Amino acid sequence: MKFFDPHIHMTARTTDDYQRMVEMGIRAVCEPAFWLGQPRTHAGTYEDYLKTIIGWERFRASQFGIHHFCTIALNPREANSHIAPEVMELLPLYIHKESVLGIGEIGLDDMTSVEEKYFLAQLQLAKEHNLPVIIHTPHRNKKEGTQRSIDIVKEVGINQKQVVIDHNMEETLPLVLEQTDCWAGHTIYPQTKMSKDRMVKLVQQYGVERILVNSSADWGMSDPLNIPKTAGLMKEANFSDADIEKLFWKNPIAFYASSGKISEEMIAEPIKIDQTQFWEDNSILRGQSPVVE
Amino acid sequence: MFDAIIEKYIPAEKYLSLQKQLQQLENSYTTNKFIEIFSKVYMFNCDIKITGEDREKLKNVMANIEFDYWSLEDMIRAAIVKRIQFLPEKDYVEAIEKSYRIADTKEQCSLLKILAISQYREKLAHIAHSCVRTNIPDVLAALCCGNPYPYDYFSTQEFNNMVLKAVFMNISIAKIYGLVQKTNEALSRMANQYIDEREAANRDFPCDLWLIACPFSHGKDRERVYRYLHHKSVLHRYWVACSLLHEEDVQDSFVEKQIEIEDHIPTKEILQQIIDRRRNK
Ligand SMILES: [Zn+2]
Repeated sequence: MKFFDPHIHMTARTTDDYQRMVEMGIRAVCEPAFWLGQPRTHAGTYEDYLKTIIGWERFRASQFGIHHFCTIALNPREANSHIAPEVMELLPLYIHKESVLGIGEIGLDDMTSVEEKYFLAQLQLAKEHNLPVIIHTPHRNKKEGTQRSIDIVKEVGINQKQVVIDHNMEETLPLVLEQTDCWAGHTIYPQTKMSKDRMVKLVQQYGVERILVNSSADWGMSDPLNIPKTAGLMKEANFSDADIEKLFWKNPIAFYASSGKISEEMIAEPIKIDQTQFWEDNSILRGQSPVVE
Repeated sequence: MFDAIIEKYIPAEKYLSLQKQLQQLENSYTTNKFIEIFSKVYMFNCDIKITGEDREKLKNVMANIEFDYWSLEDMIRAAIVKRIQFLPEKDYVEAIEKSYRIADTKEQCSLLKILAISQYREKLAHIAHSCVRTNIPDVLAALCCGNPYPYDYFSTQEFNNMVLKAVFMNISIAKIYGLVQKTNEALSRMANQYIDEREAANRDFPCDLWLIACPFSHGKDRERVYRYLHHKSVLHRYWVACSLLHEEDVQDSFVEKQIEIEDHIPTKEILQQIIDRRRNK
């Protein structure tokens, strides 16, 4: 079984995690730009973070054969920071990169007016460039935050098939499915918030159409294997392989493919871990017992 | 020159759209527009291999560049950079600096290769210097392999630093442009110290290291060079032979002894050249 984790913060993970992810069948990941647990004090460090997720982290993932993509954004928490205007000016420079599949995560957190301002501006940017968007919903006051996010998406008039409203729970999922054409995202946590069992119950009730599931796996208590583990529970609950494949592989590809930057064909095979790095006809590395798959 | 190659390898409508974008860039230039066109080169599906014949054509115009290390993507990016040559020096340098600053890995590689044919390239050495601090092999290799820029613009110390970094990142130093000409006593000493460490730990080391460890070596270091001339690994024998080819002072007896028993033809031929050259003197 192949998996695509559509929302995972790999900068917080170790090489052991990458190793276990590959072993469990994770072929591709998308890393949304988020905050690092504490507010950054300079726009420059924000820019370096963006460079990390388009460059260094992509390289790290490739060493394990994993396709790494990202989305970039000014995240909701730091929308409230003095660095926000400068970060907003950086975004148009980075959206054209090959590995940048969209804008995210954006949205509301404390639900301040300044969060709304940058949420709107970034939805406009995505609309202008026809890019997918990841919308973070607040962990506190979730239902109200999700409803407000839906209203803003409608107000902007962006193509809803290119939008995922993320971190849903039992009480917010119906809002997204009934009121919009957006994708509904779910983040599985080991202890708090949405769990693997509850996720299985949700798909039993609502099916797998327009549903995305991710592990987030950031610097907090989290598990980068939550996608394959949830798939295992679905198998036990007698879901068909086709449904499981749709939920954890076809759906994320369909969502991100609207960027024009990825296709199933591109990521179906793992990246060749070829340390001889044949470059045209010339190896840049010397021929001494390299690890070649 | 690049245009003629690119036109052959990408579909006609994509080529026309690129030309149109570049024309617009010339007509109403902004750095951000340049950066956008430069970033979006991946959209041309650049996996196609350039034929050896076409690489030769480029070499005829730019003899010092090793185009074997260039992809179609690099060539398209070079064509884009060529189109902003009309800019005044300050704006041009700023455009290259900014595009490098926000570049992804593949763009960085392209820019490092393009440095060698860039305008005002003497003003762009800081980009090459920052590249030496990377940990991504492709990026360092873009500067090292077949690229004359470090040879032309790096100080001895900067050049040495780059070569050692390449050794540690498993990049073949034999591919570094002008390595033999630029090798110096300090670099040779560091290479020999590295070999000491590897031998002490009972570990092998890159065989092409002899290219920098052999020149300027004397005493026990030079004795070791001759010892590896008889090594069981053909790679060591081959690279020792290559490194001795450039040396003035070679003890023929070691070379002659190895010629008799050498079964690797290229190595044997190089050893013969060493002897012939000395006899002709
Ligand atoms: Zn997140």
